[in-house]
Amino acid sequence: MTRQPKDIAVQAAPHMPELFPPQRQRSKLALFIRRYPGIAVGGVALVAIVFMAAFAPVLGTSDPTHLSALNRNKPPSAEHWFGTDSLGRDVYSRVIYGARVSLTVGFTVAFLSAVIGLLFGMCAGFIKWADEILMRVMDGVMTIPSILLAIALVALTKPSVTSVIIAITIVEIPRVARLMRSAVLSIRGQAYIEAATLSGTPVPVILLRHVLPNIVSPLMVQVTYVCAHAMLAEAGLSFIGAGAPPSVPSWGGIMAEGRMLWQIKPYLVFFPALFLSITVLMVNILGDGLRDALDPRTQVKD
Amino acid sequence: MPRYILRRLIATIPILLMLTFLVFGMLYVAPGDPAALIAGDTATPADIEAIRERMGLHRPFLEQFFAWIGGILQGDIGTSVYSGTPVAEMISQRALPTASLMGMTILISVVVSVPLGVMAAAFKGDTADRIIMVISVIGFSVPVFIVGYVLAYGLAIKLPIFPVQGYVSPDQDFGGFLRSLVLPSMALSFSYIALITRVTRSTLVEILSQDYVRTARAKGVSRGRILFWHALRNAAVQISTVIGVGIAVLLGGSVIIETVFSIPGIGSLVVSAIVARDFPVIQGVLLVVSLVYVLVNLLIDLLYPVFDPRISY
Repeated sequence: MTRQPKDIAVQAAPHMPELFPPQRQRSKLALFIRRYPGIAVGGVALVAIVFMAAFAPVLGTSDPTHLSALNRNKPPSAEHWFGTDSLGRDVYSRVIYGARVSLTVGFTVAFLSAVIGLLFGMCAGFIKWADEILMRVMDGVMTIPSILLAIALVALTKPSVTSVIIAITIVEIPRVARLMRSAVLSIRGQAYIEAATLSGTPVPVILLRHVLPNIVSPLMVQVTYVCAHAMLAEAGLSFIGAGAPPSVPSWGGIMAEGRMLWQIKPYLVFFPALFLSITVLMVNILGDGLRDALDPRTQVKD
Repeated sequence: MPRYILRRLIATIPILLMLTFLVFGMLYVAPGDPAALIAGDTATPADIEAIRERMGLHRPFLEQFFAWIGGILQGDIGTSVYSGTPVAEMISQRALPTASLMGMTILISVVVSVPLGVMAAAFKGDTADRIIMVISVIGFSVPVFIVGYVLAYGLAIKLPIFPVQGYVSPDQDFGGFLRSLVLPSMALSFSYIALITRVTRSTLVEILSQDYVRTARAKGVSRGRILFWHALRNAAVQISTVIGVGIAVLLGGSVIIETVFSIPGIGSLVVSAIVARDFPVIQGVLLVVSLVYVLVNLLIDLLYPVFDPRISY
């Protein structure tokens, strides 16, 4: 039996504890979820809800506006999972289709108020006379409680999803504009902006290239909250009859229709309520996640 | 001090002017003829013309605006198209239910949320803090009318403790009056509690890292006394500010919750005005409610020296 040099070496040296244990391989995805649970949970849930709204016709639904006199006020069953309402319409189908209104209003208002609020905030932050006028108007708008202002604005037009979107956008703009203004003002004092101004960079270029990238994070966080707010406002408006017309199924509207009978048939109110609450909750969780991830002060150390 | 109050009062005048301008101008920015809008859907051309004549809608915009402000200063904030009653009278008849609903809501909210916020700050990062923060996210997410239905289902239908809906006048039966307001106030306070708790927590977290807190701890002051005496007193300004700002949320929420619980307040006045497309009523409520909101916040501003003697005017 010949002894190999390797065996000798092994015998000579006692067993060493592993100084560098192989790192537990975590995929990038798992790391991301660990670091930003809010973004992961809220994001995935929202994508799921968007898919639910987009593929509403193939999710076992029937026509949400189909009236059926024979099937009025049926409790939940295999055929009508959430029962039927007082006009015989399938509540499950109405709830699934109702996601479309909530998401459309939430996302559109978020987008519009982000763009307009950003524009207003930038103008107010860089142009002195615009600051005075814009901020006085914004202050005025903010003295009117938001739901009441939205009600009045919708009352001025014919009830439709578009007028609901316009009304809620007008209500939300001041909040975004004020935040953007203060963000712009805090950046305006920085040396690099001064340098850009002195080197003759035109104001629009400064805004676009130097200011915008620095205020995108707070804007994104704020816009997520605006989206949640808009969904709540839309549901509230539809619930009191100042929102989407009754022909369009919306969660607030379905609850309003179930209101008369809810003491005997609580499911008419509770199913749309559950979907609405979970959707808004997920948007808020996403917003909190974004805030924690984008705010350098609360940066999570890994 | 009196000079400061005067200065603050004068400073609110431009805000009030902007508010009245917005509330008045709304009618003219909207597409279509304001007279037709006020007259409603069923009006004939003659009705519309009569309204135009009576309300002076053919006159120049600024002239109308100042005439309208002149009317407001004399207590005339418009007349209902539907019933012909002055809007001021309609509002004053319905002010009590809404005001008592708001009062009870603020009371419940402050009593619940301030201790919760203090607790969350004291146990920052611990389980208690996390649970409180999760509850507050839910508070921001669940619409007020859903909270109302859940409470009514639990505490009025399953366990018949409170009335499901309705309002009892305080002259009739004071106990019944209070009982009828408990569930709507609880529902309304849900998101308000979330708001105040968050602000209390974040203000206190900052205060607890201050030198004077360390000094107090070093000289052996008990934890509870530090939290509720030293820290909370210094947070009073921020907490009272958010209570004032949050009243806007309450005013909006009361419109909806009055519908759920059939309370004959200002909110249900608005809802019936929407159905009847009675725009002068909506406009009048908008004006009065916003005015109350501005004045309440002005009052809180003026009370700052009471909460914090370091602030002197």
